[in-house]
Amino acid sequence: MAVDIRNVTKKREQRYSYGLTLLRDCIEKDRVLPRDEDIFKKTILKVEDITINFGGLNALTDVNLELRDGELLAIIGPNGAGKTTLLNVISGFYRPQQGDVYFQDKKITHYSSHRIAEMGICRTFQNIALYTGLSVIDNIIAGRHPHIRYNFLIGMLYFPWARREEARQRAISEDIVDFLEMEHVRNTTVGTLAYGLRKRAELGRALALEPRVLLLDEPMAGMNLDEKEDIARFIIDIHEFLSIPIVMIEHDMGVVMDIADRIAVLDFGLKIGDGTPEEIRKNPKVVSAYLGEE
Amino acid sequence: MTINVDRPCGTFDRNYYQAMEIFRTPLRKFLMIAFIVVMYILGFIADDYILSLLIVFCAFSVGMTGLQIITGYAGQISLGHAAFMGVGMYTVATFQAHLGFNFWMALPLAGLFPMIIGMVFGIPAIRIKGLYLAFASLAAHFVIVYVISNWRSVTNGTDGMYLHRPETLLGIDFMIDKYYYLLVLTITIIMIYFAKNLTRTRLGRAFVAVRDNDIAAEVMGINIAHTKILAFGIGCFYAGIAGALGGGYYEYVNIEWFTLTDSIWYLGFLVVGGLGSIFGAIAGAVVWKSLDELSTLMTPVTEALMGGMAFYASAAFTLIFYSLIVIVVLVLEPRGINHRWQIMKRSYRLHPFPY
Repeated sequence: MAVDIRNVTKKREQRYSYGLTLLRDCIEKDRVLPRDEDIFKKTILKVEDITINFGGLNALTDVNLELRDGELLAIIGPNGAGKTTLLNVISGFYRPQQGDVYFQDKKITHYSSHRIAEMGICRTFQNIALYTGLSVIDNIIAGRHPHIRYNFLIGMLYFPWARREEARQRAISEDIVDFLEMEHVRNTTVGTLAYGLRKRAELGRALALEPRVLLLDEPMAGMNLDEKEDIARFIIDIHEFLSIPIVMIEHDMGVVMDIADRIAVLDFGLKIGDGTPEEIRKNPKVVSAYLGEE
Repeated sequence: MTINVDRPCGTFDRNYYQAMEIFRTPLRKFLMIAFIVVMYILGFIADDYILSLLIVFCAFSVGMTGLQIITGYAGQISLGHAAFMGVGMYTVATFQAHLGFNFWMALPLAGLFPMIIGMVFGIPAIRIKGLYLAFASLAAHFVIVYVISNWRSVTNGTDGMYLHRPETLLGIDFMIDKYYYLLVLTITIIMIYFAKNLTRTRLGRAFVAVRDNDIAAEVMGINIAHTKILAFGIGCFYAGIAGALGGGYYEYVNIEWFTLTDSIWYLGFLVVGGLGSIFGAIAGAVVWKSLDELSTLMTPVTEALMGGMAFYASAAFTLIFYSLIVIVVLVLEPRGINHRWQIMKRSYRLHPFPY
């Protein structure tokens, strides 16, 4: 059974509101570019000639990638192709031996991870990396860390403005909880949650950071059909309502072909294809490396 | 669906402020206030022996809360906590002896000095974790003890130093144990309240984030180096204040009180109390110091049974009790007294039903 995009659309239509207005206001407030048709032409994230190798293994070789504003880019490729490595380079985990990463025309190759996150490049992980000891809502508020405006002394003394700020952050976080339909597990420790819900909580935590670019590393891995449809629905909602560009690594070709604006294909650290889903489907290199013959 | 039982049944949060409160129900608020009032009243009715226990409970609760922040919340093992308590005591003593400070002026310094030293010794935590960090933090203990015992001109070496309790304030004479206890209790309550606030606000969540998943924390915009060093700083601040309060009670300080074993038992009883909660820290401190007292009380009993041998045996009681309780708790309730307490509260809330 594959994900049927019609089910996803139907469910989206049934929903009367997104409930992410507070978060959207935060993101809109300091959006550099105006929200009009032109934004699709503007490159927001650029990866230039990235080469990285671990010992003798070439994880990535001269990979170029551009992400335009408001675009949903899917990265596909066989296991070990370097997809996650690419995300790790973007989010500052690995330092590439060669090449640079630009975010909004600013070179971020040598920025530390937390600074890159503060700039708005947020990601989820392939293996869930939540703060297991905290509840779902606390995980999401913890995700808002860079946006909380008081220092630890004020927090310790718990002055009225710290209390007000906490309530404001909580309001935004509760919004995200509502959006992800996790109200019933809001106060549950994430360590005790089911896999699908944990994956969803992680998406929520990434959203809490007010992403300008959202990197999703296999958001649907290991899920059943219902959960996949839910996640696909959330990704489309985020993409449309917040109009932020999304980079998504995914193996479910049905979903990728249905929701992605553009697809990049990696194989053994080389980019072998880049284009609309239609172009990728016909690309002979991609077919032989990953998709397979009909 | 997972049912959330951490909240009492029928209690709803009507706004976000209510959701953020420490005590959500009127009953819990009342019980907390009642407990604090009882603790204050105890100061007036208890005799000197009980007071000596209560003051030690309070001082070590503050110290244990500090270790809870470092180890329980931020996940950084520190094997030098007793030494930082010693730095707090010696700070008060040296500033009083050499510069003529009074207790009130020396008390903040007793927090700030260990804080700075703790932050310096917290620097290795940026690069190493777990067992390796535990060994690195051992260095703190040895360096501090070495400096204190050899810097004779300032610290009087191994002879120890005298320090003075605070002068009278608003007509209250703190030389009387009763009033000194009230002072210690007040400071303890304030410190624990601050620690609780810390753990439910921005930095506290960052601590837990670093403990649970430091890689994810870094990618989620938390500056790990900053957070870890602050954890050491705040934890050692608490240790220093605890030292100053305890030292003020005895009015004397000696480096022999801060042995490596104390640092290790600090960690051991933190586990007994339960990692990752303020309640656990207090429980750990109270259990630790109660056992201490119990082993002293056991000596006359054993004297009747064993005669003169009891003098030698009593030295071992402390160790036997400590080890026994740590082993029993590790086997039966590895998550400490705090977890057991949570289970009890849970079953009370769900009372007629088992779950």
